[in-house]
Amino acid sequence: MRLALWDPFREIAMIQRALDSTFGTPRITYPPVEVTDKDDIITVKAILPGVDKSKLDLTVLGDTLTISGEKNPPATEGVTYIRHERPYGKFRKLVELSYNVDQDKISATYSNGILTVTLPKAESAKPRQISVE
Amino acid sequence: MAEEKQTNEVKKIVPPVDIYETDNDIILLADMPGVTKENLQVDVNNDELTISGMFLEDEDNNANKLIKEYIYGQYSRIFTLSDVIAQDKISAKLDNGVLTVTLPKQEKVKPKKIEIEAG
Repeated sequence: MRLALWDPFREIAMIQRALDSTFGTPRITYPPVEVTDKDDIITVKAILPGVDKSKLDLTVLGDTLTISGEKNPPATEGVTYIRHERPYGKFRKLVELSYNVDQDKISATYSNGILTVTLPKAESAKPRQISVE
Repeated sequence: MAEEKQTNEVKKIVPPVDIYETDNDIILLADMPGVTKENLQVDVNNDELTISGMFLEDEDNNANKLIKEYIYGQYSRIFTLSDVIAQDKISAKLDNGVLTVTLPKQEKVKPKKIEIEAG
């Protein structure tokens, strides 16, 4: 157990988890993500079809990545909707990375409606081999 | 543990859609993130429009998954076309994981502006 500085984002995430457990089925906030760990690189993939890249905002604080942005409704004036199922509007997602990452080496790409963020672990978070003399 | 031969049971994903009508067309938008042009299919057959596409996981399965909130699989959905649609003029495009299908209306059902002559 380690002491950490107060992190408001983590507090929000905790509240969200508490709400989720109270109201039954865990609610996945938009966008759904997949987080993987391989070769000391954390990769976050988010399902974000049809989003304007310039409206995406990524920030990292400690071991939490925040993906926020806005998805415009396709509606134009003078049209009649028959079905409206696709989500739109403002979104904000906190993703727990489980590790601290190197802020200077983060990169992101967006293709086929999937945002991929590559976050190499911070030196302090990498496993270290200790030789026994 | 005995290594099971992967049965590759492909999960079905129903893509959410928006459908709206303009004067000349019916427009269908479907969210199909992860699908490329190469593995997308849009078929019209017997008054049915079928859209389908594969959303595949990277070959590299050795990565340790920390969070998994979505599934990979095959998007698939079928729509019945009314006789309002000119089926031979249907067109489709894929952009950033969103499929747009344009279904033009038959000429006879398009609204026509009637000029009123001054008497």
